[in-house]
Amino acid sequence: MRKQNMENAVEMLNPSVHETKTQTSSPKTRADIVSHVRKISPWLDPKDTHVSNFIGSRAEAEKRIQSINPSLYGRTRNHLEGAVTQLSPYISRGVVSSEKVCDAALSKETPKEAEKFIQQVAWREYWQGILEHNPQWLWHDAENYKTGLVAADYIDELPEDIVRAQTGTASIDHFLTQLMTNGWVHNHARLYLASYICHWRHVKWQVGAKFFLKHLLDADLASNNLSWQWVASTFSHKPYYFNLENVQKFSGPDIDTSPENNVDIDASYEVLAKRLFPNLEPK
Amino acid sequence: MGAVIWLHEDALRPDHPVFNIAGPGAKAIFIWDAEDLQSRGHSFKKLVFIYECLEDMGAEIIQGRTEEILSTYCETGDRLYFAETQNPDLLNLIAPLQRRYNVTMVARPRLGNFEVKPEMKRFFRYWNKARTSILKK
Repeated sequence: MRKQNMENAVEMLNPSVHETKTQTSSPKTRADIVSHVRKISPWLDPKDTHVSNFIGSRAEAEKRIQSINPSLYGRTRNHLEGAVTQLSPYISRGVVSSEKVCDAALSKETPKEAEKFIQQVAWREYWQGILEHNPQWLWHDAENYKTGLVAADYIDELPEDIVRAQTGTASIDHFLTQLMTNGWVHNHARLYLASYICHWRHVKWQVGAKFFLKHLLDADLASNNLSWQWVASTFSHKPYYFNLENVQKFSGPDIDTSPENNVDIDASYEVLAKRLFPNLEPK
Repeated sequence: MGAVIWLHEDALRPDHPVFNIAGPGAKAIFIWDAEDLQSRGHSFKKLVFIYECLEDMGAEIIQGRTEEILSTYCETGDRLYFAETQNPDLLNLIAPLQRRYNVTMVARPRLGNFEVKPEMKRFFRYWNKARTSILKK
């Protein structure tokens, strides 16, 4: 009786949008879900049509947990084709707990062998703890930029060529495409992207952080925004930047790292430091 | 009187501690709040992923405004539970209900039961202290 009243009450509040899913009416296949989500999200840009190859289910998360190889992860994690687990969307959305993932790693190898892997899981925990003590750092600079520039020197909008993944820097365009079509990018590539957006294009880290939050399935506010602050140098003692040689070292053959198609990032660290941070005293 | 769990995108699993605390038989609902989801700018692929997770855990999805729908449950005497989140948008959605009704926020589990301290401004200051309790097994 109470349940019936409740359903009526909800119905009365907003009869046109009430949707109670039941076992019989639930969409089941991915195609059904995709079309259903489109139907119940009419505000979306019609051009926003990409669906990730990550499937939101516990079974998918379990499959990835089974394949964790902590020591191989520790040796290869910085490589874009390394033995990363791609568990982050499932941890972030709470499908599995960090504890469960760490337990799985510890059941396979000794604590010493699993330590690098668990350390990376712990970063999320760390950022959340930092944010808990400093909630204002979610969107406000924790410290000043250490780039020789001030916040007002950075722009408030993402340039159109970035949104279109047509910057002309092939590796960056590759990572941007991956982000916008699949909603997941290797951590190292995230650093490249954040650095490029912030230091090459002088976009405020907050703008870049919002761009990531929109697309990343695993976007966790604390990890995302504080990592952006770390790259920007507002939560670290120096800006993070990279060069083509570094991308070449850590990427596989599917990424165009030819110098002619990556001109903006093709220089030594010394040259780039002068170019990107001209106001800083050389060390 | 029953128990209702307000699900949100940061805790989409049926063995989250919020289910234990709410007790057996608690009704888990996710509110597809167009205004809220639109304002947060999630991409289509992200919405699909969230929907799939909800579908997978057998959650009930209701379209409408969060405050209005949750109020109807609270008005009938249901107790409301939700998993801790740091997302201010989600906290703003639940805040008016917390002021009016008995709402329980269930803390997120801490890795190794170790709390990050305010003075741990760099990761390794945290890790060096937390390491033992996290690698305990």
